Amino acid sequence: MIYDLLIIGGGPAGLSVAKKAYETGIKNMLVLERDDELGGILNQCIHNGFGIEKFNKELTGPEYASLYIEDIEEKGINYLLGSMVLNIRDEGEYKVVEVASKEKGYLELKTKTVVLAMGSRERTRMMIQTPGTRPAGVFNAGLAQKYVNIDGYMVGKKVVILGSGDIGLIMARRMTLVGAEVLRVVEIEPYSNGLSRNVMQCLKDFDIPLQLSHTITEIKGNDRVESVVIAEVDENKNVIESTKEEVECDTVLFSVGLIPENELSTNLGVEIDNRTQGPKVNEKLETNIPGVFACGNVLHIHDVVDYVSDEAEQAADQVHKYLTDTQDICKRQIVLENSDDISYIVPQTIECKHSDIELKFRVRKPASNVRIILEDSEGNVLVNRKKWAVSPSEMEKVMIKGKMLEDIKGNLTLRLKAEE
Amino acid sequence: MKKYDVIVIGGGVTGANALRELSKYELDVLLLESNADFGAGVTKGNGGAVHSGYDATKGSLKAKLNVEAVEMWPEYAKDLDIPYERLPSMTLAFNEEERETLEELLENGKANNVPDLRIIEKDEILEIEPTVNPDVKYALIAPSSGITEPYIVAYACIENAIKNGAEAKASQKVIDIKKIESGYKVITSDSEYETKMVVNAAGVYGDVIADMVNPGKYSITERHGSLMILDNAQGLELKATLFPVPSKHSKGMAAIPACAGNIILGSTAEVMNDKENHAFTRDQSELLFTSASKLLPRLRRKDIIRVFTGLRPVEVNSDNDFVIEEDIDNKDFYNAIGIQSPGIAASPAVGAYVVELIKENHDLKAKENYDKTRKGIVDFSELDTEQKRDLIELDPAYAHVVCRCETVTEGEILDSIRRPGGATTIDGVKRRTRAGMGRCQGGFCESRIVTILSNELGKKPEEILKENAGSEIIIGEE
Repeated sequence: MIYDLLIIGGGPAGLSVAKKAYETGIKNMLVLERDDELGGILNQCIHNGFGIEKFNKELTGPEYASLYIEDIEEKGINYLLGSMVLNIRDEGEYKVVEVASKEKGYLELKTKTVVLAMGSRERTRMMIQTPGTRPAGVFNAGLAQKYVNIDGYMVGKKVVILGSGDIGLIMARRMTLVGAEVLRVVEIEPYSNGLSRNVMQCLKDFDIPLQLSHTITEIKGNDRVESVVIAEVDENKNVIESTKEEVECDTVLFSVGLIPENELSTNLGVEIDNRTQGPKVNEKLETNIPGVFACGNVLHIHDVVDYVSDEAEQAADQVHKYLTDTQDICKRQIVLENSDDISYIVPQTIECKHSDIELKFRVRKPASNVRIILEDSEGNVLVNRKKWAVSPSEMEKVMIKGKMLEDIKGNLTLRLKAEE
Repeated sequence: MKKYDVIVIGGGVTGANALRELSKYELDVLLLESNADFGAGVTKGNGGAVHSGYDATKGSLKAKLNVEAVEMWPEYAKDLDIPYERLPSMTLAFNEEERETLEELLENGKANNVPDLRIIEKDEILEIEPTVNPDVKYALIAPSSGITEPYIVAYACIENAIKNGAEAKASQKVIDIKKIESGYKVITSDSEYETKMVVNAAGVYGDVIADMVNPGKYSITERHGSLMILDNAQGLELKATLFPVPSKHSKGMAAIPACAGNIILGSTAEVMNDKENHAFTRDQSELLFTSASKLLPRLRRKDIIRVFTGLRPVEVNSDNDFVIEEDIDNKDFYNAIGIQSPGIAASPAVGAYVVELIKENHDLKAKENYDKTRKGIVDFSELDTEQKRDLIELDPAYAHVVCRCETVTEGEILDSIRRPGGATTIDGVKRRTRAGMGRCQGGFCESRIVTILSNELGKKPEEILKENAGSEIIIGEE
C-alpha cells in the first residue's frame, strides 16, 4: 500500500494539514504522532489567547486543538499515536518512512508525499552556556509547563526565569498561580522577546519584575539550585561586573528561544536555511525534495498558532496540487534575500509568478516608524509599506501580488528603511 | 552481621575494576559507593580518551599501568561489552619549537614501551584527518590510543562482579573506619560492615578515607577540568583524537571523538582544592571552544550541547603518580588513590594491580565458575531494520521511543533500571542509555523517565532524584 500523504507530527501544524488535505479530497493519508495523544504542545498551553485570528474567539490551547481533533475523528482521518518516525528515505517517486510504533511495532510506510510538521524544541541552558553547577531545579520553561499542566506537579517555590520569550512569560504567570514566588524575569536584550500582550497580562498584572539588559552569570547549588547571580550587560552583552547580585531561589526556568526540529529533514537530504534553521522552501512550501513539504514551527518559529494553521492549510493545498498534477511548474527560481536588519524570510525562493505570495519574516531589532521595502535587482519596488512598529517577537507578513512578479529582474531583496 | 573478606570503597572505574578482579576469587567482596549511583564521581567527569601512555613520566607506576592496560583493552572491552574503539591520537605541533616537545614526548613514550609511536608531517596528518587546521606542521601519532565511555566501564565491571557473587551498594557514604581484631569495621551513615581487608578507591575523598586509619599520610588536591560536548549531528567524524602540545599539568584542550558520535572538547585544568565544586565558568567554556577551534577550525558554536566539570584527584606528595600501595601501618588496608589521568585508560590494569598486592599477603583461590563476560544494554539506534523488527517483536517496549534526540526506547530504559547495580536516578538512566544526553538535554524525555523510574522503583515521582539526595526534580503535587 502506498499512502498519498504522510504527515509527520500531530501538533497544530500536522492537524491543520490533515483537516485541509481531507477537504481537498485527499483520503489516503496518515498522521504520525510520537506522543500518546494528538495536539502537540497545545495540550500543555492551558492559557487562553489561541484562535483570535482564525476563529475570532479566545480559546485555550487544548480547546484550539480539540476543534481540529474532533474534526479529524468525524472525518475518519487515520492517525497513529505513540509512533516515532526514525528516518525518512527518498526513493524518487516514493518516500519511505521508518516508524517505531508502540501499537504496530516497526513499520516502513511508503508514501507519495510527506509534510514535515515536527515542530520545534527549546534552546537549552547549556546551548547558551550559562555558567555554574548542574543541579536539579534548572528547567526549560516548556518542560516545567508540562510538569505543572499535564502531570500536575510543582517544580519549585522560588523561581527566576531567564529569557522573556512567550513560554517564559506564560510560565511566570502560571508558576505564580500555582503558588510559587516568581522573583523576576531576566532578559539579556534591551527589549522583551515575547508578545507585548503577554508582557502585560503575565508580568505587569502580577507585579513580576522584568529586568531588561540583564542575564544570569552563574547558577549555584550542588544538588538543588540554591541561588543565581544576576548582572546587567552592556550594549555588547558583556557582563558589568559591578552590577552582580546574588538572588536566592530553588528553580531557574530558561525561555531562550525555540529551534526547529529538523534532524529527520537533514537526514532525508532537505536543505536547511541557516537563518530559520528550518527547510528552505519555495512559495509552495515544498523543500528541495519534490513531494516533501514543511509547515509550522519546523519551518520557522511562529508566535501565533493561528498562523501555523494558515501555513499548514497552504501546504495541504500544495500537496493536493502535487498529487493531482496541477502544481505550477516553472523553471525559474527567484531567490529572496534580506538585509541585515531582517533575520529571515520565508519562503526562501519563488518559482512561479502567477499567484499571490505571502512573505513571512522577522526583524532583528525593535524599530518604529519604518518602511518595509521589497525590490528586485534593478531597484524596482514591489512592496513599500509603512509600519509604526516592528519587533523580533512578532512575525511580520507582506503580500506580493502575482501580477507584480511578472516583470521582475533578478532576485528580490527585503529591507527596512527608517522613515524620515 | 555478614563479614566480608574485602570491602572496596568507591564505585568509580578504579573501585569497579578492583571489585571485578576480586570477584574472580573465592572471596566475599562488597563495594560501597557514597553517591546514589556508581560512576558518578571522578569517573563521570571525563572525556573518555584511552590514552596510549606516551606522556606519563617514564618509570612511574602510571606509565607502567597505562601501557599494560592499553594491551588489555580490546579483549577487556569485548568481554564486558563496553563501547571501545582503537583510534589513533595525534598531538599537533604548529611550529619548530612545538616539534621539540613532540620529540621529548616521543622519547618518553618509547621509554614507556608505547608501541608504534612516531612523528608525522602535514600531508600524512591531513590524510588521516582532513579537517585539522592546515597550518599544522607535525604530529606525534599514537596508534594504540582509543576511546571509551568511562561510566560504562564502571557499570560493566560492577555488573560483571555481581554476576560472579560480589555485592555493590550505592548511597553508602563511609564516615569512619575502625581497626578491629579481625580487620576493619567500616561505618557508613546508616550501616556497619566488618571486613578483613579494605581497598580505598574513593577518588577525591581518597585522603579522607585514608585519614580514618592513618591520619595525615596522604593529601589529595583536586584538579578541576571542564569539558564541552558537541552534538553528534555536527557532521564531523574524526579519525583521530587531537591534542595540542601539552603544558606541564594538562594534556591540553583535546578534541575527542566520542563513541556515540559526539565530539568532546577538553579539558581545562585548574587546581582548586575543593572536592565539591563542579561549576564551570564562562572563561572555561570560551577557552574550550577557542582552543579546540585552533585544532579544528570547522567546529560550530551552535553544536554545543553541554559543558560539565570533572575533578581529578592528585596525591600531592607523589609527584603526580598513582598511589597504589598497602598502608604502611595498617595491614590489609590498600590504597588506590591519586588516580588522575590516565585513570580510565589504566583502570583494567589498576584493578589487577590491587589484587596483585593482596596476593602478596594472601593465597587467593580462583573461582571455578567465574564468568568474565557481561552483556551491555542494547543500543536500539544502532540496530539495522531486521534487528529492530525482531527486538520489537520480542518486547514491544523497544517500539516506544522515549528520548527522541538519541533514539532511546523504553526497553533500554527498563533494562538500565532492572539490571543488577542498575539505575535509580535520572542521571543514572542517562549515563547507561544516553536518554537525555542529546541536543534537547532531556526537555522531551525527562518527565517521561521520572514516570518510568517512579513505576519501576515503587517511589513517588517527587522522590525521584536527578543525582544525589536533595536533587529531587519535582517538589510535590500542585
